[in-house]
Amino acid sequence: MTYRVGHHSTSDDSFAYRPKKEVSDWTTHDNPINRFRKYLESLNLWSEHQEVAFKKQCRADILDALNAAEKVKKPAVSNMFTDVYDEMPWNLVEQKEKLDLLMRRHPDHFGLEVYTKDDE
Amino acid sequence: MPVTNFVSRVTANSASTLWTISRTVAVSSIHRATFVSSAEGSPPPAEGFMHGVANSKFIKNTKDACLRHPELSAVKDSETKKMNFFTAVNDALATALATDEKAVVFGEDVGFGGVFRCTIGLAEKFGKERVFNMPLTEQGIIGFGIGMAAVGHTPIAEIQFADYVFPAFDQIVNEAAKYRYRSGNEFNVGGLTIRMPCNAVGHGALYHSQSPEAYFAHTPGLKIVYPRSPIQAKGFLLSAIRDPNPVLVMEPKILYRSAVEHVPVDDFELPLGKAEIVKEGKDLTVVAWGSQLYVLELAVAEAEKRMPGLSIEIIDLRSILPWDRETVEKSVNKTGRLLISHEAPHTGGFGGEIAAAIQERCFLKLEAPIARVCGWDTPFPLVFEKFYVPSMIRCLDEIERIMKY
Repeated sequence: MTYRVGHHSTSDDSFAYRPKKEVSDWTTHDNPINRFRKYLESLNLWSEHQEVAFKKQCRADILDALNAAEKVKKPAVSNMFTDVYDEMPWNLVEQKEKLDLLMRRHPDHFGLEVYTKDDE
Repeated sequence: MPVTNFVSRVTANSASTLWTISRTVAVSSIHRATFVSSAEGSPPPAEGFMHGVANSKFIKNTKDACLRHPELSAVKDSETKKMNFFTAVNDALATALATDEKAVVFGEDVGFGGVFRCTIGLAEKFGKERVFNMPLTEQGIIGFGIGMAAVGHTPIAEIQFADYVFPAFDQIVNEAAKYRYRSGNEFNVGGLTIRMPCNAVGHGALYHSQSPEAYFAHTPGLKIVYPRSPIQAKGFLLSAIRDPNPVLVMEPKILYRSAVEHVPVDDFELPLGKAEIVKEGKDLTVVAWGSQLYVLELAVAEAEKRMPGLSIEIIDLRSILPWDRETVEKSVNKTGRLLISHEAPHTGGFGGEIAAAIQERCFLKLEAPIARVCGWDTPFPLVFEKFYVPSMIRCLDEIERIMKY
């Protein structure tokens, strides 16, 4: 069995349908991550000091990755039509051409500068 | 620049344009109208999803505007209350629970108000025996509803997102829809109503954006209704609950909070199977349902601004099954042109059925091929949503193309 200790999403307040104590109990008791950590500590393979440093490093790595990702352009719009099938059937080829024409006719409307161009 | 665009399209297409001009000059003055830039300049950018709802002329902002509607004549002395879409759904459910002791409301998370707050307060008011949660099993939810309906109850089931109705497809298509027919009218599950949030929301991606009405439109025995506003949300939900057939109510989730209008406090119903002409016009008929109405309202306003004299009729189809062919047919016989727009993919979408039926019946009146502006034939994408949906700019382009045909 698994138990979700976080909210379902950023728009979910899970305490509307479950007590806070239930969640905090699952965070501390029988939590497999905690149990494994305690097991490693009992074998002197891990320590509180390493835990704190590791968490700090993870947070920094994630923030770096977020910052880097934010600077990357969004994928090319043509990706919308690919990978529906192994090859694009005629209807998708035709629809892609229609959208290409629309974007050429209204370049400012779609904010295209944040999307990768097909030839980039 | 719209003018430059128009000119470049005309020159790029000169052979067909000559033919178009010679053909259209004879027909009506509207075809000779020049395209001009709108007073406000460019249309709004593709971002800012559903910018049309708050200022829509289809929304009844006052008590008078609400009660003036001929379909609400039965409650013309009612008080009205400003409600958003989810409050109107809540109001309808409370009305159903209060007026029908056999009515029950259930679904995932429904007991504590539902993820879109449509059932908030109902369990407290009507008891946990009548408003309750169900396990994460859509076929279980609908199967349970079918059983209750078969023995004379009024089950009102919620599918949390229309994207997740597919596990219940067998129950709906093979059981609910065929119950009356296969028993020779000995039994029926007419008490069953199934609500589900549908349509795009701006960031819903593959599994929180779909509009699966066409799958169910292919199922004899079902009715499908598609409210576009709080008044319709209440009136159609009550009709659906009381209709002696299983009814699917598709609720555009983008409107739950964004659509706000005066709704009669009293109990009322709206007619299933009837479209509504929300704007009269004489040169082109556009048909849509759900939140797409507001996209078309903007596109039509922009087109009429660019083509002085152009007058477009907008029809809210409201019911997908049975659909109001007569209203669309009469309109197209008058205008000679038809555009249908829906978010669901183009191929196999309900627009195809409308197009086929109307060309059968209005063939000699048609001035241009029937146009469809729909979602592309791809899954509903996350990062490309504004390129996928039949947006205002796509509808506008298509309107201009039809008018120049």
